[in-house]
Amino acid sequence: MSAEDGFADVLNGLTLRGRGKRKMITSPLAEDPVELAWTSPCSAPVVTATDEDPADAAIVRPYAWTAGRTKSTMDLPLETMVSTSEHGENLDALTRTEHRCVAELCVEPTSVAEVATLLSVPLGVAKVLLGDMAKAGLVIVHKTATGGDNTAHLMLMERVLSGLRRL
Amino acid sequence: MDSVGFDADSAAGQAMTSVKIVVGGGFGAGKTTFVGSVSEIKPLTTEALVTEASEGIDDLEATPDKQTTTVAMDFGRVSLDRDLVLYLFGTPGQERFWFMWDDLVRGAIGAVVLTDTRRLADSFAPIDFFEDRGLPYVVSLNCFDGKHTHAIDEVREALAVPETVPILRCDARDRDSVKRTLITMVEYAMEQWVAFHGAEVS
Repeated sequence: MSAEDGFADVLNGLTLRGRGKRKMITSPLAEDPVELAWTSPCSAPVVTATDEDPADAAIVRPYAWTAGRTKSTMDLPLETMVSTSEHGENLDALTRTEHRCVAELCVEPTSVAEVATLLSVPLGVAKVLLGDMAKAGLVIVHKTATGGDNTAHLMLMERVLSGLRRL
Repeated sequence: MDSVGFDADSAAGQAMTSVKIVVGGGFGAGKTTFVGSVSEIKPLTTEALVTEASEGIDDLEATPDKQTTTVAMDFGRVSLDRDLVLYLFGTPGQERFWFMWDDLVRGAIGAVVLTDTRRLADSFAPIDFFEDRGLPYVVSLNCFDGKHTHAIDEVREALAVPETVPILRCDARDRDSVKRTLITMVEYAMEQWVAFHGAEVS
């Protein structure tokens, strides 16, 4: 499955779930993507498939969600965890579909890499989205080891070592 | 350790810290198996589009019909404490995707070079890269079918790895074996840190 296929599936899957109480996305696959694509209330621009993807009813270009931006406004390493803030938990207040997707996903702290994978978007797209949402106070960005020269890094490694030994 | 952006402590919920270890090695060396042996999630694959990261590096002009290429990285997660999570990232196999490795190694505690002793040359590139970036690494000989085909000393000589760098055997399918490898890796990273910064700080 290409990144673009997956992206459309996510949108469709969300449309499906959007009618009931929203739950964390466990599978990005929708049962009936063809029908749902046309009833989708999502604001992300949907374009019909071209010759290169004859099998798909509809696809969304990955960078449509980022308005073509490829660089995040924040430095977000792959392993950085994000979680939905109190502000972001109010899903009805979120006007953008992609922000809702992320807000639902990050109820539990989730890494940037996981967000990209579970939403089936390229890493660059996930970083731009998360950067936007962090700026808007919708998600909290947690601490990440930066391999620094201060003793905090040594203490962190000590904790990792203890944790591994306890496994 | 550094906070990025918002202060997590001030917000509702647990403040988390994440760390990562990179797992390098040639194609088929068992990186995904290694990650899967300790990961609490089935190893996931994240993708980056080459066009977003390699503009000017990857020559896509030769294949104009192919608009994007994806670089896949497998990763897994290990919760070490209530507020501490370790991520394991496998390096993309193809050498031409090295530009992704910079993002991978930034902030990493260290790396494990998973080596198939039948294809030692596959480990040259990751070892060179980690040495160049000053990232502590250990060499882990993945024992396929439990066979120890090479003596550790021979491997060290063949790989031109300094005496100080730990070389150990492991079975990537075995959780305890992978755990031991990771423990050795972190212990070595700590030794290196202390050697470089001086023992008085600890």
